[in-house]
Amino acid sequence: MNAVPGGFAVALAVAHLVVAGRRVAGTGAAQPPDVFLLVALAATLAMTPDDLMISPSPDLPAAVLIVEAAWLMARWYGAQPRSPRAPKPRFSSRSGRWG
Amino acid sequence: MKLHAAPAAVGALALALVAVRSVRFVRSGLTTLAVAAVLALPTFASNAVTSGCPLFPAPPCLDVAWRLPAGEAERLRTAIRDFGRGTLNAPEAQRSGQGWVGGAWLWPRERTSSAVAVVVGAVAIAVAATALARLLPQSGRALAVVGGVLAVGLLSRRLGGVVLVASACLAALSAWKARLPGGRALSLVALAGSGMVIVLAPLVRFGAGYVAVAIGVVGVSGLNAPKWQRIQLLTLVRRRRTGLRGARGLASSRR
Repeated sequence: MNAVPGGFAVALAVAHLVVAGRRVAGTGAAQPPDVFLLVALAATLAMTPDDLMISPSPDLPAAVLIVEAAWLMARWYGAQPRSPRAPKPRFSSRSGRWG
Repeated sequence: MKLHAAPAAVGALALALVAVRSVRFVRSGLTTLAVAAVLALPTFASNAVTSGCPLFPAPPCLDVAWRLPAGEAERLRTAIRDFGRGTLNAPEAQRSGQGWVGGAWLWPRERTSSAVAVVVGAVAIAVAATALARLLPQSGRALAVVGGVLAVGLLSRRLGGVVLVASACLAALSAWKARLPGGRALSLVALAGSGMVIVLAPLVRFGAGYVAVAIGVVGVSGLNAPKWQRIQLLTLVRRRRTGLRGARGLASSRR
């Protein structure tokens, strides 16, 4: 039970990583926030020392939640109507192509 | 209590305030606060029962019989900060000054010998992932970047506070050039978080979330950013591909 926070955070992060990876690589329905999540979660898990992966420390859950909060913010911004000065979107949800 | 999550919470709260557009916001805001309270109250209660300080080790502490001795929470906060700075067992004069910035914190002593190799390896992987991302079609670009990030992240375990400094610099540089929706706001959150961690308790494990956010913003922004095309290697590859296409088109037209 002592390892619940770290292990649970790793499980949820890996699950979300798989979902985002499938959207990016498989379905062609990826949006920029999905790629952001893929990169940021991968970076979080890669940077985390092994002893924090299965540990009662709340450091890893806090890091994962920070990334998730940032992803939700990016999703909110992505759902807003674009202004003329806004940068062009990177992905096409219809064709699944970049650029 | 993980105080270093505060910048992300403040950023999300500011976004929620900006998003006020309807009466439903009040209802949804109250629901959010209720859910947050349900999740946080057990932690506060547990801290209050075990230490007398609901936000332990942060103040305030309740005036109860079982509370920790005066100064104990402060001593623990100082120990966490000094552990992050690498000055846990250093003399008081060294701990109170700013000498820790350029010392063991930036480049841990036991790892200094391989620090140059780590940095060179990280740069090489980043360049390789970027080149691969340019060459691969569609989603392969994103996966190439993720692979590079994984490799760099694994290498960054051997670095010290330089990771946090690099994160703050990345966030500051990408704040006005971010091409991700809301990238500027995310960059500012990453900058505030990295800065706060550096000042209060400069451990990479505390700032990993903000480092990841900065890497994510830069990674997504860089996939199609025009400036990345100025890298000589990529420019050469692109010219070669363009030249091949032109030659093929010329040959086919002659036929």
